[in-house]
Amino acid sequence: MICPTHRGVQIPDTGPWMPAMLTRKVQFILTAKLHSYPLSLSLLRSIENKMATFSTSEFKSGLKVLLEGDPCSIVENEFVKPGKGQAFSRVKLRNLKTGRVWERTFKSGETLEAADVMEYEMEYVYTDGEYWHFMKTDGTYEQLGADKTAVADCVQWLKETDRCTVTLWNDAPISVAPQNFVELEVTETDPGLKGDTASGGSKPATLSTGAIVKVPLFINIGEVIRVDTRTGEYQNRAKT
Amino acid sequence: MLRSIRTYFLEQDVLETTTPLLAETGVTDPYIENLSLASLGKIHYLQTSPEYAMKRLLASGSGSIYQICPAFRAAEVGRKHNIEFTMLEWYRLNFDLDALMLDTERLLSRVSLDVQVGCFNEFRRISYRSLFEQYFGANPHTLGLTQLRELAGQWRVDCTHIAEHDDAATCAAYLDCLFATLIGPDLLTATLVFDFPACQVALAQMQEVDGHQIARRFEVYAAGVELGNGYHELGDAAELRTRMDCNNAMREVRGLTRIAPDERLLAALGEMPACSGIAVGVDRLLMVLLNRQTLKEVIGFVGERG
Repeated sequence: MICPTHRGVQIPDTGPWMPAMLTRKVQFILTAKLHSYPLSLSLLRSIENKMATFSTSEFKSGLKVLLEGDPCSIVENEFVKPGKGQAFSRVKLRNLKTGRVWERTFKSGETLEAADVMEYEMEYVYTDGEYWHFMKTDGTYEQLGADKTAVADCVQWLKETDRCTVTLWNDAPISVAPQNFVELEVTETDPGLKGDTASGGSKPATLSTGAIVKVPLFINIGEVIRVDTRTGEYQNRAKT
Repeated sequence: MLRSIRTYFLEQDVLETTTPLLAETGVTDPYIENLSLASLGKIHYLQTSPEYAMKRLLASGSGSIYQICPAFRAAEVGRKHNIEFTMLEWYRLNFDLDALMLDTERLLSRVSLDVQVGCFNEFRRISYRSLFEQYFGANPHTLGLTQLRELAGQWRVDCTHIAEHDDAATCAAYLDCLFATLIGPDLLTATLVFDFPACQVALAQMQEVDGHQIARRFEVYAAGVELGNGYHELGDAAELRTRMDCNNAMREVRGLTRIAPDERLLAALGEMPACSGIAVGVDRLLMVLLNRQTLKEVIGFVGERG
């Protein structure tokens, strides 16, 4: 069978989508999308996902799988085989919805279903109070709304037009991670002590996003500072 | 390291041997899988250890022997596992388990001295029971399957991978899982764990100690890694046949193929002199000596690179 609008691309004419055809199928999906070929992309993807499973020997860190209905990322997989005993894999998985790490054991050869998890770099646009809206930066300008659970602690670092990493599961955002360093304006803090750059004391400061961080005494309202979002610690004054 | 091992055995008057890697029979252990090859319409097995052939040599009057050779175990791939690995196996005539433990300690300290690392200066010896009691407060020789399940639940050791059958192999799997999860990784200094529960007897002699049937075998650990497995060898052919049949029964309920007992070994066993023997993973030993975390760092052609 030849794609009617793009004659160069051959697609398999047998019914079931076999794993070996995946690459060709992806090409086909892309072609189909380009030419508005009347086939639902998400339908095709769901067929694909039903078939994709990984066995313990394929478990690698970073692999996205489904466990108890939740999408997880494999952190570590260790093959354990006590002398004469039964072999198993001790696997650490990070639940991508809660961030919690699970430790499970699997019989050698046991399988887990693949999770359709994608990470995108997206730009934070605005919030309507219920959803935080992000825009893809790949030129599609596609927008997606993430709810409070997905945004979680990241909310205190979200500034309009800043870029974040948004994790999508079945095309819906499940978590948002800020960049390691963000630059934010101080909106509230005790008056700065001029010239005090060496005493080492600190004071709390509220930033434009609502986050409260400890800053050196010389920092004033209106100044833009750089913060490490992993630790919530002040780094330095941002160059303006 | 290899030279150091060979020098040790030369000085001890132990003969180096070479036995075939390919055999007509495999092992019956429920949890060890042979790789098999077909040639001229016959199945051959790549050895999982040179044990059977070496025991036949012992039976024919070889005296104490050792061997450094490749061994193969199907589907064992990981940080501490490779399908093909190098094994050092040796047998000492008229040695009981204590004598073999001392012999093992001497060899390991000799090797670590020769390669100039200090990881086998001292050894700790502890019985399986004492160690198990320290961690779990229970006597491993009296635990049934129900109690083992409870213990695993209590210590939050996920044992869902264990195929549940009411037999010795299931008990052994629970004990192994508990041991490998909570105790093994803690054995950082060189440790010899001896006298195992009866369900883990393999080819060791059984003996009654403090009213319990125990298996006279030991395992060597260092840096949390199991390095070797030593046995006071079983010399009773009838008992060996019973154990092999029992293993095959356990293989069958697990849907594994039956492995025909090695008749040549069974025939030879009656002639085998009293001895103790041990197998040591040479790649793992090197890994521990060099303070490395994975076999990849010590085997040149590991896994996909092979």
